[in-house]
Amino acid sequence: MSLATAQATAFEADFERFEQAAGASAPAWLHDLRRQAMDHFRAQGIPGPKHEDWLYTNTTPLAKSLLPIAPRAVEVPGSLAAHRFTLGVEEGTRLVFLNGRYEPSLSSTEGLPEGVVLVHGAALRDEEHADLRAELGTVADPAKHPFAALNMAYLYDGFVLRVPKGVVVEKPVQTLFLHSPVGQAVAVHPRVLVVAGENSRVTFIERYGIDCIGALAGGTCFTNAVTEYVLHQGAHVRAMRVQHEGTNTYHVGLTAVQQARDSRFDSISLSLGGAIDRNETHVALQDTGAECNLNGLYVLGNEEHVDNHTVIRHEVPHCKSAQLYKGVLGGKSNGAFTGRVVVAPDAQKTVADQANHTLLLSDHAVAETRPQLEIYADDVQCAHGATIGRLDEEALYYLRSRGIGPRTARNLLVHAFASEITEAAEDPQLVEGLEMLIASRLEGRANRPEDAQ
Amino acid sequence: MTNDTNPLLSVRGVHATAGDKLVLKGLDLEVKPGEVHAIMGPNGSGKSTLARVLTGNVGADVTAGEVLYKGQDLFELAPEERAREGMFLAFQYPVEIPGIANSTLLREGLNAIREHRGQPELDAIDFLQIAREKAAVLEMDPAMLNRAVNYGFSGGEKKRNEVLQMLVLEPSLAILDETDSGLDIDALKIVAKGVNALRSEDRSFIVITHYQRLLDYIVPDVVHVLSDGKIVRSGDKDLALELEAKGYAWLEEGANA
Ligand SMILES: Nc1ncnc2c1ncn2[C@@H]1O[C@H](COP(=O)(O)OP(=O)(O)OP(=O)(O)O)[C@@H](O)[C@H]1O
Ligand SMILES: [Mg+2]
Repeated sequence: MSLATAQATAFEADFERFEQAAGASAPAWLHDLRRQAMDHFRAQGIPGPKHEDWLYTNTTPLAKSLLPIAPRAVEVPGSLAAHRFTLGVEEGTRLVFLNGRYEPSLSSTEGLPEGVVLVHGAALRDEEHADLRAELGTVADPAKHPFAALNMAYLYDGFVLRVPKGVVVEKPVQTLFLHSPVGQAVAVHPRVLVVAGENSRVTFIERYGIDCIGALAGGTCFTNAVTEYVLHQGAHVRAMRVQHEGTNTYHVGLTAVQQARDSRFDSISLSLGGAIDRNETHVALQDTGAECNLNGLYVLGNEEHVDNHTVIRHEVPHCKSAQLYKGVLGGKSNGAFTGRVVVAPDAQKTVADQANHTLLLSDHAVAETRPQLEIYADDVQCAHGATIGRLDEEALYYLRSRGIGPRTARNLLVHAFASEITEAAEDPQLVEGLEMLIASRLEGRANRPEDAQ
Repeated sequence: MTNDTNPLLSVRGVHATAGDKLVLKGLDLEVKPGEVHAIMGPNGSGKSTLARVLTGNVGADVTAGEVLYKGQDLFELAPEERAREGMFLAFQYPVEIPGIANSTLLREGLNAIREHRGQPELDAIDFLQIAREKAAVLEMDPAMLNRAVNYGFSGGEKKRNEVLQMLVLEPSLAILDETDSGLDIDALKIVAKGVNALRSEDRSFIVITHYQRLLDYIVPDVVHVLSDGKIVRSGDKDLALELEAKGYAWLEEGANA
């Protein structure tokens, strides 16, 4: 979809302003990178309704409001307690970004094992890191993904985490990308690169939220995040992604993963709603023995829309992928899942599993599911399954017959449905942290029994 | 047993449908505090439907009649309100709920009931102590508390788990729907011991069973025969022996006479 002229003009003007104001203090390599990325974005535009990959998401609101880049936050919150940011894990490294800018007063970079490199804030925009010019975008290709291109065009802050060979990072590294309201609709483009060296181990948690929900009245916000993972031989990365920016927000997130021999990538993505939440995960299994396990849970109400889109490429023999995505849909929400698995012609002995299960809490919610298996090898084991169901009335009756009220009974059953995903976090603190987030969503703004009618 | 106290439960002329079928066709039953009533009757006669009508009307629609429980109109109460007022059903087919721990179900239920009674909430530790004690009465492995509700339980384990819930929730009126079926003979004795431990002056039981044998262990005050949606005969515990010997056919002749 090409932009209407007036919008295009405003958009170009915003980009120029960014390049000359906030983004000006950048070395030549970064200006180059941005301008080249902007060319890629112009060439592709916002994908329209006829684009097969965007079948379930109407991008018109995004195209209409290619929002200006967010200005610096006016107010820095004194604490992050309200966001339950730490997911139960108090210690360890945490990086907080407000309106796309690193906020040192809320962050802590302590506790990383020796050798682990963390580059963020102004350092990222340093001449010294010119090699990032070649490195960024190798996994999330801006030429093939318009939103990745847009993200790169606005590259300002974010961070790079490098875990050297053999290093085990015990505590999760956590990040929080927060919108701080500025009274108008704005965009942020968070960028992360995680490089896990040979046989290294790390757990990385990304969270996307809003500093103060009520204050969004001045307009919505748009987050366009790109996270790239490079896993070297034998590396094991656990990735957790939580999106809870709120019911009126736009979010496009791309997680792009590249895996070497015997590496393992385990992910959990939790989407707690939004006007549009496009949650994309691309994994390239590039050498034998690589394995990925993608888990996703989306809990929606109101008129929210989440579109999970995965692409897993089995490029070589003997790799394994598993996907389990579960949706809990209340109100008039819409939850979509597209899972593409591409098995290259010589990728024999591939094992690929895919499942998408939806729990409908209301008669007005809609679930869509689309497996896309493109299998060009013959000796493979590929399976997919999808179910759409409602809460089990007999189970509800059973719980209520023990004195449990209908609302608690429903929530217990929803938690039971979600538990397969939350338990994939394994670490009891993380499991509990995820459960609390889901509970606050269920007890909060949506999916109340009245929504379920 | 005859006494002058007010009935705990009185069912009057209840008609109820399950699906499209009229199942209960004018059922009367009166249970006084402290009494044990046994209900026997052929398959499909409406015993479980009666249990559902009493505990929640879920899967059964009442088309006529009334039920007073503790003096109030039972049909005004939601299933959880009935439970909080002391009604309990040991399901004929206990429901498997993967993802919810047995202990969670029990604690949520017990605390909801305690709140209703004006008692303080039990914390995890106090609750676990109670649950473990009750499990021990039933000679159950306490590990069962951590497992998902009935999920993967054997038939007998499910029945024992229903009785465990009854012991923890301490109801005023417990309805046991074929809790004996699926139990081996030792388990039957243990379960009966559990039920008898709960028996008291102000606690009543409705025991639905096909087998007289259970009534050797849980001795009833009254035995009823439910046939084609009605109580067609009531008597003392000897009626159960008679049914065991003769089956149900003779009753229908008697009822028609
Ligand atoms: N949802 C339904 N739709 C149609 N018929 C139903 C439904 N539920 C129950 N019934 C019928 O109602 C009748 C009574 O069932 P109920 O379960 O109460 O019998 P029961 O006396 O408990 O039998 P059993 O001794 O076999 O447990 C049966 O004929 C049964 O098939
Ligand atoms: Mg029955």
